[in-house]
Amino acid sequence: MSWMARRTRLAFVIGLAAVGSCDSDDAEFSDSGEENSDDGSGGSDPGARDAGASPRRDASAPSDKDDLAPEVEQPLALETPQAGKASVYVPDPATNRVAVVNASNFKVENINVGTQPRYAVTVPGEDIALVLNVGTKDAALLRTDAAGVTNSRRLDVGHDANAIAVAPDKQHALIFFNASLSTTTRADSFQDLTVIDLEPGKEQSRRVSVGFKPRGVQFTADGRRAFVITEDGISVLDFAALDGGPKILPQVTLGDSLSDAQSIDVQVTPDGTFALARRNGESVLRLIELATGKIETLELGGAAVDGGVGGELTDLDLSPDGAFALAVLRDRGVLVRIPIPAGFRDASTRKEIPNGGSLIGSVTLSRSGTRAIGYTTAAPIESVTVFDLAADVPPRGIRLRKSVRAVALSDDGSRALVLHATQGTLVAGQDEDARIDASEGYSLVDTGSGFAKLQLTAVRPNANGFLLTPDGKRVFTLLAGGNVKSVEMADLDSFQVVSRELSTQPNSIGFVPGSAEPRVFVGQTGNGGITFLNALSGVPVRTVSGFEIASRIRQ
Amino acid sequence: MSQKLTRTLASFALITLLGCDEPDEQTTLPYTARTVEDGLLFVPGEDGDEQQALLLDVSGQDPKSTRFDLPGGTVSSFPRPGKNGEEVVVLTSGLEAVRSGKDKRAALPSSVVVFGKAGQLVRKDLQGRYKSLSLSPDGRYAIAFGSQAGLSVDNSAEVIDFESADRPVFVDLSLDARAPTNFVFSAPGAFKHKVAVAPQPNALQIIDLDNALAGPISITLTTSASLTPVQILFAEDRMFVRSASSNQILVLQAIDVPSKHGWQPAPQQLFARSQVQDIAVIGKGAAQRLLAVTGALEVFDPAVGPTAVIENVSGFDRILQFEGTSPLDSASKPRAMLYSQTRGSSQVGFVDLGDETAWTTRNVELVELGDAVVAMTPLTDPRYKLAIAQHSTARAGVIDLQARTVRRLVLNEYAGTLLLDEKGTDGPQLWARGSGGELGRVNLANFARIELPFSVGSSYAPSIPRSSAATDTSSGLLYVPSKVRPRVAVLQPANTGRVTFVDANAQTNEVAGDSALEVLGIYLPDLLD
Repeated sequence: MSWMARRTRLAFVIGLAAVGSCDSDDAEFSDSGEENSDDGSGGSDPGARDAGASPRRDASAPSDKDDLAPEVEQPLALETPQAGKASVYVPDPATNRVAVVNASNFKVENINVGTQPRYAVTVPGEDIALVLNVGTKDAALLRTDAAGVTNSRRLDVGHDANAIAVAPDKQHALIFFNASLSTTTRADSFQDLTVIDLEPGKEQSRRVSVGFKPRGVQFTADGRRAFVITEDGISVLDFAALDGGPKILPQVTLGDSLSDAQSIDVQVTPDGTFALARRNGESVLRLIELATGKIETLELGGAAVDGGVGGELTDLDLSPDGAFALAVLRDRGVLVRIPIPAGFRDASTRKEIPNGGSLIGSVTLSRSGTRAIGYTTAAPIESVTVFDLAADVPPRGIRLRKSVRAVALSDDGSRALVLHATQGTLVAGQDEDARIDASEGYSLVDTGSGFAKLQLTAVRPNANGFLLTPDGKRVFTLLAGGNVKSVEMADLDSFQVVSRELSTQPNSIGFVPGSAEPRVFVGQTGNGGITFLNALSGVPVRTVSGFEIASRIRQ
Repeated sequence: MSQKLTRTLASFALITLLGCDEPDEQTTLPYTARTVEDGLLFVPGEDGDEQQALLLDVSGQDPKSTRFDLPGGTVSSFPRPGKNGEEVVVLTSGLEAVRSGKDKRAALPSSVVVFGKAGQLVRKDLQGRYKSLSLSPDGRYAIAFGSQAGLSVDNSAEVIDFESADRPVFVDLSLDARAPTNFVFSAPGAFKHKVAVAPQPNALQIIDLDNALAGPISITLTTSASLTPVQILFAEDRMFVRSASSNQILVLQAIDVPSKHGWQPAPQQLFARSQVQDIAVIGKGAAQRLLAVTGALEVFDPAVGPTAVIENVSGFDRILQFEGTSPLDSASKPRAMLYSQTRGSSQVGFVDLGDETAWTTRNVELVELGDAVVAMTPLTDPRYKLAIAQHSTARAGVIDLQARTVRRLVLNEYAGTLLLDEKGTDGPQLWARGSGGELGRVNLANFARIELPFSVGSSYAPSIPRSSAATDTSSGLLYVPSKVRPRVAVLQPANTGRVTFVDANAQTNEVAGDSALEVLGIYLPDLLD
């Protein structure tokens, strides 16, 4: 089970997206909120959505230097670890090495990879990592065998890059510069993309040109084609045709003109037939047939609930199978279920769902496509609304104790994680309600019974700091800031939460499926290394650190 | 307990009987007196090629002396650890070649010789010339280092196994150009492997004593900052390294891997909340915990990270572990006393250890000592749960670690030299010798005191050359172990050449008859012949 999430114009991904595995079917956990996506892949899920060109976290900036004790050696800007099947890959730009940590026996290998390895992505379910060396502008493909020995192969990239996306069939990876990922790193070229062939023995890299400023990549479910979302539209890459095909990828326009706002929420159906797009402030939804470039539009505006004219499309979610889209019309007070493509051609196939009396501007759809959560981040509304899409039942409101910042749903939609916004400032002696409003926190929600449990936190949960275990029974939350450095585990059966103190502040989290016992790893800032926790109990099993020192041991 | 706890500081010396971990010091005295069983060994402290050591046997009432030729060069001597003062290790630095004249000869390398009651026990000739020696806590191994010769490699060492017939093993320590300054040995059974570690700023060099021929395992701790290791503890398969002015504790876990040594250290870093002043290890296996004194008492699971913090101990910078009862608990359990050696606190704090689940509710019981502590010396004999706190004034406190009480010991005229005898038949004895020549002792079990009618004269203090070493024999009191009649040797001024031996277990104030023995002219050539 995974957490199905949504990204709108301000979106971020939490969970395995933080470890470059947003293309994992097992443990994705994302939500909408105030930061943009994601792990550098720019969105590689089949059917994943485009977040638009938004400000976002700078993944290339040296991180966490300010957190190290002055009397300790110079901090390392260890980049986000990536989880393979049984190994965790930790790029270390300071030593030009990647530490490969076996999650079962905690053996550490230090592999020379190139200059400034900053970004790494693992092939889902495999002990294979692709590491991007920013300094030498190349990539290292690391394969760790069953004996725990890692081999490295260098592959040319030759252009600025900060993002890697791996196709679902694990045969190809794409490397490009995602300008939306960085506000500090400056590139000389924004339209280069390197295709890496991952097939053993046939590894190679090839470069193609794409539209301006790619901001994400989506793949067909079979991995045979990729769609690069750019400011110019969608660049379509057919891997099979790459050898003899064009080195400038064919581009499909989204219908944006020079004067139009850019399309956002660009989402490609898993079969690669259609793309959906909308623009801010408009009530028109567009369906683009990718093979022909034909654009169909759907006007969703109408009378607003307050009697005026409304209908701005405030959110759009494509179901994971691409069968339908869910559009939110906040001012009209409805959600519209739109079959793809029939909903654009036959009004009778569309279904309007009343919002149940709650203000709803955003929606999060479960991976099963059977349940959705509606909410708003535009006003301090302390509730969410559950929509059962598989049954003809009215929406159900669930009272919360704080307003909503972001929502994520489990695969089957039975559990929701609600990140809360804060209101006011924490002041000593204030009453309990005011303290709750001013505090950071999250709620665990049973969408079936409507039971919700509020959990306040000392700091705002790290946007990259949530993980749902693949069995869907536990969620891990990283807390970092000030003197706070801990990881919390919530049991989704009982909603009980336990907290574990860490040595240094956590900055990433992931799941290692192949270890002897299921384990969650928590990457930490500076020299804090990686702490492995038992994924069932949340008990820390081992902390592995000193990667830099390990690389300097001689005998 | 860490080694430093048994060391002594300041103006007077407290010498433990089991001072196997005393600092290795060279002396500038013309002779250095070391104890052997039933006697003293006098070794010369000057350079020369025909030097002798003199063994004085006082097992009976008639002392006997025997001279032993020593290999050439400057002589350094050390009590052999693990032998309870019964053996002495002598390092000779060797001699340069004489290239002309009738005494023309080749250069002479260093030698290491072990002396005991029977005289020379073992001799190991080395390949190079060295000026320093480190000894393992059990006395089995020694490492000679610090080049004494020209055209020699300074950052090398030779490993001596006194239990092996093999030649000493030459070890190249050329991680960088720096030479080792000391070695820290793992105590027998304390670590998975027998090792000696040379700590240096930003580096550690580990010698695998079971496989010294394989060369050292070298670790560069940092290339960009400054980490100076100041404390190393060994526990099971881990060694813990504390660095000066750092909140970092480096954990090196020995893991088996196919390599020259068959194992390698896997590093891990633990981070305390602030600078770590002292560390200790408690528990075994999965229950092993590292305690770090940082202003708080921070508890770490070495495999995982921090597990608990005990607050309100900011006045302390040292931890002394012991196992015993408490005023509220008659069960013997792991406990600790926290104290200050640099922060000026006049208090000590007691804390119970061991029960992981109770860490967070652990209370610290404070006991007032009245004065700041200069040094803390626990008795090593497990029968006695005592520690002696030396204060900045001429006073000491005897702390009962179980009762959590303190007896204030006024030294007054005895504020000179202290000698701790843990083997007394009536309990541990604290011998004291004043700078005016007074000699007395107090029984630490019942605090009965004996002042001996014995004086060395007021000229004693200025007439004896002193070294900075607290354990140097110039402090004037030595415990002479014996299976029959242990004695306390009182070294008289060098110009008198007089040594007085007092029966360590004498029950009277009388120093007469069989209870005392005086040897004259010990420093004069041939006087004893």
